[in-house]
Amino acid sequence: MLKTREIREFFHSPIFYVVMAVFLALSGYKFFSLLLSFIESMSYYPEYIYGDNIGSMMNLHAAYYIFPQLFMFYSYLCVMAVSVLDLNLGRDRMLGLDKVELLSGNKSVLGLVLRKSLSTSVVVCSMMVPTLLYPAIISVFTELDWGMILSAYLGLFILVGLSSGIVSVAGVFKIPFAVGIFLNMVILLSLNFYFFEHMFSPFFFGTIRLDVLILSTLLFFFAVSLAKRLYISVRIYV
Amino acid sequence: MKRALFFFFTALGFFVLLSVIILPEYRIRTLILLAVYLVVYYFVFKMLVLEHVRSLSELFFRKRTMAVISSLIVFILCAALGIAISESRVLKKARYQAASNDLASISGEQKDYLKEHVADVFDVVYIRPTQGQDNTALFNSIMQEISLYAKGVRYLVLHPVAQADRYSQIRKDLPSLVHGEVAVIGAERSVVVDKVSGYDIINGLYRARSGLNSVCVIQGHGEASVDDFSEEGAGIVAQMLRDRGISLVRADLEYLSSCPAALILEPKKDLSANEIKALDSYNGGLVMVGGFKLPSVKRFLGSRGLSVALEPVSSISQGALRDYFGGLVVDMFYQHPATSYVKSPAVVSSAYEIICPNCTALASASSKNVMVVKDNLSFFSGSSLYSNFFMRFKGNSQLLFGVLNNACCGSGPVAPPDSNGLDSPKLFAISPRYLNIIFAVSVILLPLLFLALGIYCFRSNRG
Repeated sequence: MLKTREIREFFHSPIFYVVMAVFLALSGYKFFSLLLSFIESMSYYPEYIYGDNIGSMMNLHAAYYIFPQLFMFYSYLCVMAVSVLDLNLGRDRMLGLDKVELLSGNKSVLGLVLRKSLSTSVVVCSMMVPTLLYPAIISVFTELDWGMILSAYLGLFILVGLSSGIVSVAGVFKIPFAVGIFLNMVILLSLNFYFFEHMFSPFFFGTIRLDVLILSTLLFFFAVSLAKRLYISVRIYV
Repeated sequence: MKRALFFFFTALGFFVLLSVIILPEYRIRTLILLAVYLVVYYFVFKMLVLEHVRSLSELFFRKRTMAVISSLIVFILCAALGIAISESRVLKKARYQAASNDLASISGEQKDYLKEHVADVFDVVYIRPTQGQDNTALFNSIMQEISLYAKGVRYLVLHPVAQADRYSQIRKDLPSLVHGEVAVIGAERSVVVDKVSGYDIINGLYRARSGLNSVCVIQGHGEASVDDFSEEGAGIVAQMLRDRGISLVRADLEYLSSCPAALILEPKKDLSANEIKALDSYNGGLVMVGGFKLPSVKRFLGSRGLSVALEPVSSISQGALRDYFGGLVVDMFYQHPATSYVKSPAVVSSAYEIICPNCTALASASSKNVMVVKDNLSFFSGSSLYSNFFMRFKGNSQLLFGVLNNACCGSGPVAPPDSNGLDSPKLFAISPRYLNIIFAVSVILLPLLFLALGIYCFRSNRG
């Protein structure tokens, strides 16, 4: 279903790299400021409390202090990146390149919508790969709970998948480019602040929640099938 | 008819989504909003999407049966989605409250502690408040997780009015228990946990298992406060000792006789004759830090055969510690139950030599005795041994713990400070040089690399 062509298109676009550079600059700065803040707050506590198990119970550990906040910050950046990348790179394919193929009946609409959403998800998730550097840096100086880190990445990937499914609905319409990005951002950020933030935050603390996995999958397919229906209606209407 | 059905179900579906996100708890306001929403939606619908919907309805409702089935499916989907979302909100609320205590679930260390050490049977009871914030959902969520690892732990939520007999039975053992608190009831002893959080309940299990001992902290003469978390305060030592099973209880010298052990931290005001008399007749373990310049304390110490030099002990070759912290290193400890836990040097701001031929010396700095024991009195002549600033040195907490443990519990230690691994220092230290490298790599180099790739991509696309 997911072909390399879609992903290749993302990686051949300079906008992807600009978005990635901005993403890494912001997340790098956040990581560094959290690290400084951790060092400062740690200096208020005695070595004894910090160095013992009780210290970890009190969350005076780099992993528990830095990473949940950092992943929360990633989640905001990711939904913004999905808004930009999905509309920027995916819409042309929806309304341009594949139109002829679709009208000729060689391709399924659902396949196209799914491919678009999944390719956006894969690309945004690939943006996360360089951020593995931050836990690697921390693991040089102290022991790290990698289970928590992996669960946080899992939560982030599901969030990205869900977000790309939701914005695939907006990507169907022929609206001005900037308006589309703005609309996507408003929709995703408001959903994130009101709903997704609390839904996915346990992942950032090392808890994998089955109900969120099921709900996300349901919502994703709901959004994709809605996008398919809308796409067909727009195509016929246009 | 079809359009009306479509309008109704789509409006309802959007409203369900909107209401579960924004207004889940206010029913009347939700109904008013529904009415307003339907009116607004109708106009928006008429103005903007009518033509789109016509073509859509042709796709959706080709036949009459299909129309009915589609409507039903849309309705069921909306209802299922609404229920699923509202269910997850309940869980989310509990989790979020736990997350406000910095952790959504219990940490790895806590799980290990529960698995390895909490094998006995404990009843953890939440006293449901009759008014105010009810943390039942949060309590159940935490206890579900705790009971996964500690098999002997049972939990229940008790309504103090509906189950008055059981409540009064618990209160016999724990008279200070109030609504909204948690009682941890063990076979030997029970403790009260005043906050519903994973950390506090596990701490309660720890205290109920290992034994809680009270040490009175005398207040009222300008002593350091156990609630003060500034550099000079004694907040951290109180927290630390509580974690280790010694509870510091604020007390007045008037009620000294009811204390198993007492601690006086640098009094600033003179003690009255009656108070000195109470100290003289006190039989429990008494630990005193500083305050010897006060005439009354000087007399009291003199009656015990202790005198203190006027000049402070000067430090000899203490290198970086003195340069950095400006402190005096207490580096020599003598064999005694009170010093058996001391593994590192202690650091204080200053200390004075104690002259006492009949005392047992505990610690010395620059070869001069600064801490001694005479009968039930342990006396340290310096200052800041307990202060939040100097508690960062392991030796300070180890010495204070040992002395208090000796004063309150004699040879039966409650929990040695380093029983969980003396050789596992986890002090997280990054030098400024490494910090600069981390900044350069994570904030400058990595983003610049991808920016350069973008420019290269742009140029090659144009080419």
